[in-house]
Amino acid sequence: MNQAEVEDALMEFIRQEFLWGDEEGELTKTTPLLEWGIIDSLRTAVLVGHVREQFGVFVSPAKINSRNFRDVTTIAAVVAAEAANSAEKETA
Amino acid sequence: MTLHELAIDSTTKFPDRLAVASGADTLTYRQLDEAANRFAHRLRDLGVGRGDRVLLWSDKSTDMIAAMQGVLRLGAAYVPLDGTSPVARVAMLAADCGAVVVCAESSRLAAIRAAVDGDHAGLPCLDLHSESTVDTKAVNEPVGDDELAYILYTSGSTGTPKGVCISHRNARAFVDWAVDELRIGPEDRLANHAPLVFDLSVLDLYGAFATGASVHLLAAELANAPAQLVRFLYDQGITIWYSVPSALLLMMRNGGLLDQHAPDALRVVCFAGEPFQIEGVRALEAWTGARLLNLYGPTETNVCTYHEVGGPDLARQRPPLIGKACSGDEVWAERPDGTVAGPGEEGELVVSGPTVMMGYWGAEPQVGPYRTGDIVRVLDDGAFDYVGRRDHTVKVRGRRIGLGEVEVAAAGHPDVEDAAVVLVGSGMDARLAAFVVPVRGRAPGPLAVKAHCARVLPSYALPDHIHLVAAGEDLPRTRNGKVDRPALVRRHTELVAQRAERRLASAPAADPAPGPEGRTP
Repeated sequence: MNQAEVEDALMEFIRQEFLWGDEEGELTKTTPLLEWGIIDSLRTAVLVGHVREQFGVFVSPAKINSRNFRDVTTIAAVVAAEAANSAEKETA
Repeated sequence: MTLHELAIDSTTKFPDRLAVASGADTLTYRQLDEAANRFAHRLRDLGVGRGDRVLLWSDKSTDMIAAMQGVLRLGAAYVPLDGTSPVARVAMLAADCGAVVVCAESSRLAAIRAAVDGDHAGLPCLDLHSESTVDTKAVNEPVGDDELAYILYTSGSTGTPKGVCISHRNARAFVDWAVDELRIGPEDRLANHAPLVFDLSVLDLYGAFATGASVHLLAAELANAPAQLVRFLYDQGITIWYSVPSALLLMMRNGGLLDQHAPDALRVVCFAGEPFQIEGVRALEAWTGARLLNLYGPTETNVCTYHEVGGPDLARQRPPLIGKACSGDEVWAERPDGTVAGPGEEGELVVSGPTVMMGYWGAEPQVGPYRTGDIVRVLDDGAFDYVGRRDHTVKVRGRRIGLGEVEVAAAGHPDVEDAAVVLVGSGMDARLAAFVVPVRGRAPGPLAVKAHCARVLPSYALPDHIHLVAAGEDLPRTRNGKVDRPALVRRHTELVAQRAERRLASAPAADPAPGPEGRTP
């Protein structure tokens, strides 16, 4: 799982779940999600749950902040980092 | 008695007790005292003094709490804004309240400097986290009970936010009542769930500071994260919880709150901001032996009535009563003809007493009783039962939103001619839907409209669904020309159903796509 794959999966999830499919195709990887009210803390929790289900990655509460959840790119970076982090622990 | 004396007195009595915790960041009373004094000196160096307003734009942190105390110690008033507030709104409100200094987190300083430079260059912007001043000499300027302590901006129904001005007397009347009623003591640990711009936080902060107890801040990002909220309640050993009912419902439904034994430490659960549907109250009551209190009051009066939930309430098929007057206030229901409503009658709730605000910033001072705009029914014993709102304000997860303000924001988009906003869904699922009438020949996308609104509205007031009204059509109107909001709510339901059908038709058969919010964890 690389960051680009996570980005694509997050884009699709956000389009379907929070933007009614985004028929106008407006969502981009740098759309400010929190700032524009596309996700709020309620939906952040849904998103974190989805990441856990789809990628088996647990995003720790300390990582759930407005900087990390600003847009699809920053969220994907956090997910990738958390995945690498837990893989390291397993091999250690 | 001033509001800031509370923490100062507790520092003398309990210097080494925990005062504030924000994640791993903690301050004892002595540390809070020193940080508040340091901050006061930095502001004083910039010329801040009695009667001035200082805008504080920040996420929750121990530094933010110390800054609030520092401002008060100068006899000045603080104006808190969430870190998530758009920078244009921060600049607008700084101008509105005539702030003499804006304080922000390091990462946001450049943005606020750029935003204020256009309109009122020279307004100092201070880094909330800098430790450049080492002077911790005590600061405690004398200030009158009826002088301004803080301004809380709330969403206005006319299109502009309103700054609710709260004096030291206003705040103390509520805090003193709460400390007494909840018997708060130095052993208590209070959760701070609400944002600092929301008046629920006044109880959490000053209930703790008044008694040498500790307040435990919940980051805004975690405010609706069910599992984290439940973990926080246990891990922090919270004894007094205060939040909107939707946070508690979320913890029960999605956070597994009821699956484990209620924490022994938890002794009081207060809720306010919106009606708590009785099923949730019953579940909570069966789970914990903690006292359950329904607190009521708009920002303009803070808590002016309360009701402790007990046996007979649970048998009702309605949310708990809002109860009887508190905080030294007098409260009554007024009928449309101006007379006082008696038992069995309905009327608008009116409040008089020490918690009634000084007024809205920039408007005439509040004189006499405050009319809440809330309709209540008077019960036989004089207690009040909440019925509903009079005007076009709605609540989304406890936050009051003037639909007019959202409509003005949406209609401000250059491609939008007119807009109407309605509340759809209820409780945790409540959201705003905006119907926008595009300028002839234009078709602004939903995200473009959201982006535009986000420049001026706080995030909790942003519309979620954006419906474009078809070319040549107008908003549905009532016979007297007003927007027909119930018709818009029905239209929204139809549109949502149509979209769901379209998506179902286009989705692969093996993957029945759930609608938004359909996939709850």
